[in-house]
Amino acid sequence: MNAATNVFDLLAHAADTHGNGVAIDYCGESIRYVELIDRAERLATVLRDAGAQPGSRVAHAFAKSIDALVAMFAIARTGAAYVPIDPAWPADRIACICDDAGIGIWTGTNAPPIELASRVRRAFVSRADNSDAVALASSVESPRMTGAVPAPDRGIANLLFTSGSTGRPKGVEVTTLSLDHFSRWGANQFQLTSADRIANHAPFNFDLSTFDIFASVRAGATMCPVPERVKMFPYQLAKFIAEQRISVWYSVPSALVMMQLRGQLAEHDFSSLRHVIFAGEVMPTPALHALIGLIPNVKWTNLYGPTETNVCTYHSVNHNDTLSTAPLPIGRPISDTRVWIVSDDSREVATGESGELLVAGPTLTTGYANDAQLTRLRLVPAPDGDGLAYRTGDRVRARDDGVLLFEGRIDRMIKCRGHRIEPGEIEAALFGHPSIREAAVIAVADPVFGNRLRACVAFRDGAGASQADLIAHCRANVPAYMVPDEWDIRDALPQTDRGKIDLRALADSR
Amino acid sequence: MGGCEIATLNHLMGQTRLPVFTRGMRQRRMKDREKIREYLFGTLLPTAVSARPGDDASLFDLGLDSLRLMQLLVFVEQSLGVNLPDHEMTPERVESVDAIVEWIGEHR
Repeated sequence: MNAATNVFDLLAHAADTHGNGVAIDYCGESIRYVELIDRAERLATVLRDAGAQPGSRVAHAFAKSIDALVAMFAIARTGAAYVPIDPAWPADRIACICDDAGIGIWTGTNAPPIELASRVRRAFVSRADNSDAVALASSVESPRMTGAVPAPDRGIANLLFTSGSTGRPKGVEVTTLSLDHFSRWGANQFQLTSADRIANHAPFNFDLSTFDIFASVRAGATMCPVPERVKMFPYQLAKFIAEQRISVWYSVPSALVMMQLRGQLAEHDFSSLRHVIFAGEVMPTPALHALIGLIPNVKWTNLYGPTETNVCTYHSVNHNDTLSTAPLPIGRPISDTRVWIVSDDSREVATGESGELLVAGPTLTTGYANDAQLTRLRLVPAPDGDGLAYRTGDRVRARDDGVLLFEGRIDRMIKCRGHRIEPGEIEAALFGHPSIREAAVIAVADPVFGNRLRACVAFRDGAGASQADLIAHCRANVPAYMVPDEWDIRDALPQTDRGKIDLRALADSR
Repeated sequence: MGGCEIATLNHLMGQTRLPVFTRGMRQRRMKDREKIREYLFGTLLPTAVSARPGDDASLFDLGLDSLRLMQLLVFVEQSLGVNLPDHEMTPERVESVDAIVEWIGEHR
């Protein structure tokens, strides 16, 4: 098919070519492509009448469900951008995101939190309650939206909010071009066909989910969402892969490492599985070796890329990787993508030297919602003079053969279970606690989960707080995955000569 | 009952099997409960002593996630000396202190 100008075009194409194929199979509850497009276009009429159009942003706050995909494509059909929201986030954070994105329409499993009452004009939900929210199911009585599929404003298909170092989450603008290009590359690279059953493990606010959704639809394959209640339980997760006859699995490494440790993988029948893809954090090499031994007839691929660039490099695990305990490479650029490694003064480094990775290509973001300053800081003129490049903040080195190796961050960002965490956002929350004088959040290495978070705090004179109190405070202000796992309470935090908190000393002091 | 601490009676209908607890087992279960509560609400999901949740409170609502669940299993294995089979691990087994103590009891 030609390049999509709206991700809805991918669904329309699948409905034309694989109409009777199953688009989504949610543990036995399924919907065919012709039905999915029918429901999406009926809901699109309702959303359009509520005001959704190119330029508007619509909240998408769903648990894994068929409704979630109906709503996503319905929003796209109107030309609006969808903004995934995890309903479990603190209400203040959801409100902050809705303000930044300029959200007036809400779609979700449940009605929006009451804190949003003054912002959200209309809400459409799977589970109607006593609020003003309208049941999604009622849209079946509306006619299908007709006419040309409008391109979204500035090509922006969705906004993905991630942790912000200043204490406020930032919304990455993901373009239709990016999703179209990435899903085309992915469908080709992994040879996806309509016979594939592709798991959807990542939440919708994670960029990983865009592969599951759009590469699957592009191939006319079946997407199989992983129920929330299964995700935490490694044996159940392995059973899901076996029983759902999953052929392509994509998740953060920690989900795979958990299965390797506690999934009793030898007990399950993985004969349907042919490709396992992982991204979002560093895969521990010993765990990968063990996984390859337990699930032998499968291909393994490591994908790399911040939300701002979508997936930009990939590495197919080969025989050499199974002989070495060295960290797995992040590999080579995907099609039409250019990368550079530059020094502090923005000059390209010699082969073999470390520097910051810059990325340019069709999958690049247009910037951050409502934050031109941050956009200018991170999107810089590409070294080859062709458009813009994203400064990843990742320290990378190239091998002689051009394969890229990830070496860490040049800033303080922490990866934890695939989540991007800016310690500054947690510190900002901690400083909101009346007893805290000093606070710093650092990463502590964890063999399964990559990193755990440790908060180091010092109280004001005469003040104090229990660990339970500090945790409750964090839980009210940041998402659960950003609540520190460990607490180090001190009289004062160590300082550098310049009077800043000495993070290195904190990390070394245990 | 011989050396066993647990026996089962066939219910009158011959279908339901009711566990019968010996005194030693009841005491051990109380100890397990105490230790689990202390670990959960003192270390894993710290809660002010005055505001500690009941034994039927949802641990998921209190913040039990994949990382903490793995830590809990290690604690049960190392500190209580009980191995919990991976295939039995489901949301129902770990949703509350009551559920966890029950699960541990089955493997004592």
